Amino acid sequence: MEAILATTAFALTAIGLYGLLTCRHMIRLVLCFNILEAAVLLAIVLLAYRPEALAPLVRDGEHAYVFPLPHALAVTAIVIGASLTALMLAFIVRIYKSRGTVYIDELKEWRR
Amino acid sequence: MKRTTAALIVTVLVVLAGFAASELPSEAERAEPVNHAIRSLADTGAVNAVSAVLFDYRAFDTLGEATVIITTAMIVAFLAPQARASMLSVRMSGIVLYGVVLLLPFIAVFGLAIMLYGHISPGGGFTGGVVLSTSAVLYAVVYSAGGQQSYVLAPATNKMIENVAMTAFLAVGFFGMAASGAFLANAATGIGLGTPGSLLSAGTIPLLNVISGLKVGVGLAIIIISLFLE
Repeated sequence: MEAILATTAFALTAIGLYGLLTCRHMIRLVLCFNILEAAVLLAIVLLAYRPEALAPLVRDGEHAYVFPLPHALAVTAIVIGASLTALMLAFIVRIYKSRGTVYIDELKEWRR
Repeated sequence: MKRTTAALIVTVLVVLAGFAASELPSEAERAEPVNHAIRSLADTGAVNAVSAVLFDYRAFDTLGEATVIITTAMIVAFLAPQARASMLSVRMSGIVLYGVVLLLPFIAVFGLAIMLYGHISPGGGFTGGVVLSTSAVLYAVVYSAGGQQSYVLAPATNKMIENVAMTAFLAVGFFGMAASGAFLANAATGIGLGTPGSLLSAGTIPLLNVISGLKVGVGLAIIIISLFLE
C-alpha cells in the first residue's frame, strides 16, 4: 500500500515538473503547479501513515493513532496552495488584459 | 529538443528520489507509533488531535496562514475588482434559481456544524469555512448571471467580517499572553478544558475554530467571487 502511494507521489512529481518545464500556456503552468502540490500533500500524509493505526481522533480503549502533525501541515499547505492558485490566476487575468496573450513565450519583451 | 531536455531532467530527479526513498527505514525498522494523540488529549482536551495541533500547539502558524489568506483576498480584490458577470451573459432558469435558494440553508448549517464540532470530530475551522464559502459563491454565481450583481453578503460586509475575525484571533492570542505570558496559550491560562468530547471543551480551540472558519470562508468568497465577476 505504502509503496503504491509513494510511487504515485513520485509519478505526480515527475508529471508536474515535466509540465512546468515544457508548457508555455500560463493556465497549464498553474495546473502543473497544482499537480506538484498534490504530490507533496500525498507525500506528507504518507509520512504519518502506519498500518493498523487509527485516524488521530481519540476514542475509548487502547488504540494506536497516526501522528497528527503531518495532517495539520497538509491542511496548512492546502490553504496556502489555494491562495497561491488564486493569486496566479488573478495575475494571469491582468497579464491577458494588458498584453493580450497567455503564452509566456510572447512576454519576453518585458525583460528590458 | 526542449521536451527531451525536460524529460531528461525529470528522469534524473526521479532516479535520485528513488535512491533517497530506498534509504528510508523499512516497516520493521520504523519506530513504534508513539501515541501523540492521547498526549494531546491530556494537554488540550481536544479529541481531534489535528485540531489540537492547528489551534493549540501551532496556533501561531495558523495565525500566519490566516494572514496569507487575508493578504491574498486583498491582492485579488485589488487586481480583479468585482465589476459584472461578463463570463455568463445568459440568465439561469428558474429551477436553478430556486434550487440554489433551497440548498443554501443546508450548506450553511453543514459548514457551521463542521466548524463548531471541529475539536471533537473530523473537520475544523478551515474545512467548515470552505463549505460556508461555497454557499456564498454559489449564490453570487447563480444570481449574478445576466448582468446585475447580487450577493448573500455585500463585498464591504465580507471585508468587515474578515477584519473583525482577524482582530478576534489576535485578541484570543493576547488574552493568552495576559493570562499566562504566552501568545495564544490555551490550557496554561487556567481556562477550563471541560470533559473531552463535549461541545464546550478544549478551552480556546472551538473559539479559534469558529473565528478561523469565518475568516477562511469570507476570504475564499472574496477571492472566488472577485475572479468570477471580474
